[in-house]
Amino acid sequence: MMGIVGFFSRSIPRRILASFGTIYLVTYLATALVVFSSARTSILESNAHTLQQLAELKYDRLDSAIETLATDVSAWSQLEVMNDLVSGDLDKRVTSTLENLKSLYRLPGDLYAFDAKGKMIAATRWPAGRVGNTLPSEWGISGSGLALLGKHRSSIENGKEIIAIESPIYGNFDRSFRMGTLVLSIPWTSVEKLLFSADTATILVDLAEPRHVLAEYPAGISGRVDVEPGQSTVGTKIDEFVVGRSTPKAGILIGWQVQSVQETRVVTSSLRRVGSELVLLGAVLAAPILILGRWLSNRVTAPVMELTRVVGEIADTDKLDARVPVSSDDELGTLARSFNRMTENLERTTAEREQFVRDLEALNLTLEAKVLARTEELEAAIEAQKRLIGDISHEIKSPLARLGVALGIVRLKTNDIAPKQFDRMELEIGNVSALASELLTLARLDVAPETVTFSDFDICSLVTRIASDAQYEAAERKSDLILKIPDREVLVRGNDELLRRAIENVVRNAFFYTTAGTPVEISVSGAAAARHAAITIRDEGPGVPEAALGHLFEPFYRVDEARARRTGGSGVGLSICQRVIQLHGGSVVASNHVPHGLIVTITLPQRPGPA
Amino acid sequence: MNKRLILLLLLTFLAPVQAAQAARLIIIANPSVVNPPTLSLKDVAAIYLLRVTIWPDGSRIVPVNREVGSTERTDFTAMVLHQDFESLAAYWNEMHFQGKLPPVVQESEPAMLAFVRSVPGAIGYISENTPAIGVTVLAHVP
Repeated sequence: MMGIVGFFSRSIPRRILASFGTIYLVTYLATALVVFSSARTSILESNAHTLQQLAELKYDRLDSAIETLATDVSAWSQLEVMNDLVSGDLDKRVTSTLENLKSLYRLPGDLYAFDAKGKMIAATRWPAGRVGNTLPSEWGISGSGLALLGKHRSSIENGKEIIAIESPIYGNFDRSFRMGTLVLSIPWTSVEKLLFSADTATILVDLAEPRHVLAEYPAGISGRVDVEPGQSTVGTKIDEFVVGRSTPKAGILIGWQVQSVQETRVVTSSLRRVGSELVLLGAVLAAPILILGRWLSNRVTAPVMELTRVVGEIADTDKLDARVPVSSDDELGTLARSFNRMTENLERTTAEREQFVRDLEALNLTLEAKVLARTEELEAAIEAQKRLIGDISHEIKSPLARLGVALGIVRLKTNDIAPKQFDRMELEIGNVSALASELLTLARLDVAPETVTFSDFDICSLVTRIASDAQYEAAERKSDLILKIPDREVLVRGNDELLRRAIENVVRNAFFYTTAGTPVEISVSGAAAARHAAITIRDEGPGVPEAALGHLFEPFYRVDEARARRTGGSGVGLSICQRVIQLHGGSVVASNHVPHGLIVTITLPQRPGPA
Repeated sequence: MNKRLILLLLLTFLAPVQAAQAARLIIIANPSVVNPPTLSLKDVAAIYLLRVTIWPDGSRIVPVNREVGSTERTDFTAMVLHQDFESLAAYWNEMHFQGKLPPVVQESEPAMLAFVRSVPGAIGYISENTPAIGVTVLAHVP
């Protein structure tokens, strides 16, 4: 089931076809059901009506036959010869008359004539050995008119079932003189012969209370059918049987009712043919409808299918030159046109974008080339500048030295007439010389780091020496310095002179920027297993603003210009320090000390110490 | 009614004259005919031609004939009715239009006797040789 649903749900034409089929099936089934139901009702009603007519017909035939016989009996009772009943039919004229009548009228039963006292005078059949019979009690002497004695067993006919018509006989010389009784017996089989036919079941019911069945064919049918007349005398439809009932009428058969019965199954047998014809018709109609539905669904969905195909093609191949054929002016046509327009736009946009990308790539290449060239130019310029600075520094140092010597000579020759000015001049020459020396160092580190020689040494002893130099330089702050050195060697590989100058520069700065009494702590840490050794210089001075921390190691950067001038310093010390540490594969970081002060941490790769 | 009484008295008066004649037929009646009067043959003829239909006691007279062709019927017609068959046929044709039919017929002496014996007010005739058992003899013919 799910497979069928899946099969139909995968394609629009199939779904349309399935919808067509379903609509047709539902409509046809509903119609067929109504037709079938109507046909059934109609057949049942028609049959019920026919059965009622049949019952009426049978009743009328029976009634007519018995009525005729009754009329005959009445007429025969008035024959003049009946006068002989008085004389006991001595001349047997009554007997011969009765025999003639039986023969002439082909009577199925027998005629009996009784005198006024009930003695049998004449008969067409005398009960065997019972000559001199009297009127049987079941017949009796009826009233003054004609009477039908219903179904009963006759004692003078050996208990045979009969009905009898009884007529009183009056003398035609005196209509009030009752001479006797004339009785015609009719065998019940004759009555049944009038009623029954092989094709229809028939029931004869006496409606007089207690209601009972007089005759039935086939035997036992009355037990299966409701013989009650019900509210309507028109054929009553019962589930299993269709029954038609005669209308009760006044007459000699008053109280009798004929019921014609047919099995519903038999009545509706023709419905099976109607049913199969409906199924056949449904199948015959289904073929053209499904073909038409398939053609229509294909026709309706063809543009959509074409669109789907083209979209799939575009998605698979990225070729935007595919177009959908526009076959109509309806919504699908509009969709196809819009799709084509969209594809065209997309194609144009794609082409433009590709051109743009190509242009961009070309531009990029050009730019990269330009940047490369520029970078090379820049590097060359920087190199040249560094070399220039180095050259200048070198070139400046010699004249400065000569200037210092010359100044000493002038000072001696003039007998130190202006010592202050000479001092000032010597100081400035010293500063410029120191700056030139540092710039020269920096230039050498940038331009020719490979010239620096490396060796393993104990950083603790270097730091101890630096601390001792610092205490010597600033004897008044000797007590401010705190040195924390581990009691073992911490080996590093490097140039001890360069490292000494770098660390000394930081220590000197710490003293420069703090006042007397402010502690400056130098500590070395480096566990035996650690890969790095750290030298930390911590003061509790004013520190520097956070924003300045990142610029501290830039050449000529000054946090406080005025203070720097006062405290001296060239402005390239920390730059040289950083360059030296970097040359050794380490790093130098400045951070503020809480609550105040500056911490400079120098990290150097540690050499594994002696075991 | 007065006329009928006079007729009956007349019949009673005439009866002894007829009884004295040699009789070949006897007129019989049902015993119910009480105080039977002596009837003259004219009275009998009047009864058989349906001119008199009621006995003096008011009961209905039921005349009974023998069948045509019998000796008794022929004799009775000749001796009592004094008519031939043609005139009688013409008479009954005329009576038929008045709604009257000829008397009942019995085809034998015993049947005649049995009928008259059985039917109240019945009157019939038999041969004088036949014993009139169970009936009242009203007259002899001739």
